[in-house]
Amino acid sequence: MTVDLSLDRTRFLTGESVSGTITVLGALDASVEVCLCFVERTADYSAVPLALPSGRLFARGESPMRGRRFDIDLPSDALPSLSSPYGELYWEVLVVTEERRAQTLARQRIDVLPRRADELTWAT
Amino acid sequence: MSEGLAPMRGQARRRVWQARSVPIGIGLAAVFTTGMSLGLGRAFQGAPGPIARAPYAFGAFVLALLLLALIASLLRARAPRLPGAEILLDSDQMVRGARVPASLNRSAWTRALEVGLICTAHFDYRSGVSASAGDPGSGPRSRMVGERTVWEAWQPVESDGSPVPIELSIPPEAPYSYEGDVLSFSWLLVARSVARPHRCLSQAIQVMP
Repeated sequence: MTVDLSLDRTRFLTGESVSGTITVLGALDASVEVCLCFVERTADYSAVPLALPSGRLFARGESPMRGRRFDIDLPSDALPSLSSPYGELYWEVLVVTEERRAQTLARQRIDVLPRRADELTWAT
Repeated sequence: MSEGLAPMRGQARRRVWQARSVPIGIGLAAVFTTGMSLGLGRAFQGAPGPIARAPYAFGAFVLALLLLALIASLLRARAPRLPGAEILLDSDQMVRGARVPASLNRSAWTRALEVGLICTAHFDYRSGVSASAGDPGSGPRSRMVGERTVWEAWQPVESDGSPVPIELSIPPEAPYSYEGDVLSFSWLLVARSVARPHRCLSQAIQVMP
C-alpha cells in the first residue's frame, strides 16, 4: 500500500485549517487516518505531546478509486514552530494506519506562525 | 495549549530529581553515619570509657557537618544573594518583541550591577559510554537533561538609589517559554554584581509566543 499526501499549503497561522488530499495506491490492508501532531525533537529524543486525528479516511478492504480530502483545525492557541541549536518544536501531518501499532505511511512538516505577526521569518 | 500541551511531567521530573540529588545524598550519608556509629558503639560497649564513647562522638561530629552542609545547600538554593538590590516586575508575562516591564531597585551602597535577560534550553540527550575506542556508541547509555543558554543580553545599571528602568527587550525570533517532555525553554531576569557575578538575584518570567 502506497500513500500520497498532498497539502494545499505548508504555512499556517494559529487557528487556521490544515487541509489536503490523501491518495492510496494499491490494496488497502489497513484503515487509514491523518493526524496533525505537535512534535518536540532533540538530537536524540522526540515526543508528541498533542495529536489531533482526522478520523477514518479509508476503511480496511475498501477499494479507493480517488483521493479523499481532509481538514483539521490548528488550535487557536497552537504554539508556533521554533528552532534552536538544542532542539525544535514543530507541527507535522502524519498519515497513519488505525491499528493498535500504528504505522506511519507518509509525513509532511508544516510551518505554524504566530497570528500577531505572520510576516516574521524566525522559524528556520 | 489547553488540550495536552499543559506542562509535561517527564523532563521537569528529571530536572527536579537532578536538583535534589545533593540534599538526598546528604540524607543518605546521615542515615549511613548513624547506622555505622550505633553499630560500632554496640561493638565497643565493653571497652574502657573513652573508647566506648568514640563511635558516638565521631558519629555526632559527622552528623553535625552533614547538617551544616544541608543548611548551606538549602540557603544557596533559596536566598537572594545580592543584598541591597530588588527586581520590581510589573508583570511576569510578556510577549516576544516586547520590552521587559521591570526596574531595578538598589541601595546606593551596592556595588556596580548589571541586569540581564537569559533564555535557557533544557534538552534530553543520550549520554554514551564507549565500550571500545573503535565504536563510541556501543557502551551503555543513559538519559540526561542538558542545560545551555540560548540567548542572553546584559545592561549595566548605575543609580544613586532610585529605581532604574530595565531597557532590555525580548527578540521577536527568540524562543518562547515552554515546558515539554524532551525540550524546554525558560526565561530569567537576572541582576548581578559586576565584580562578583556569582552574587545574583533572579526572577522567572513567562514569555508568550
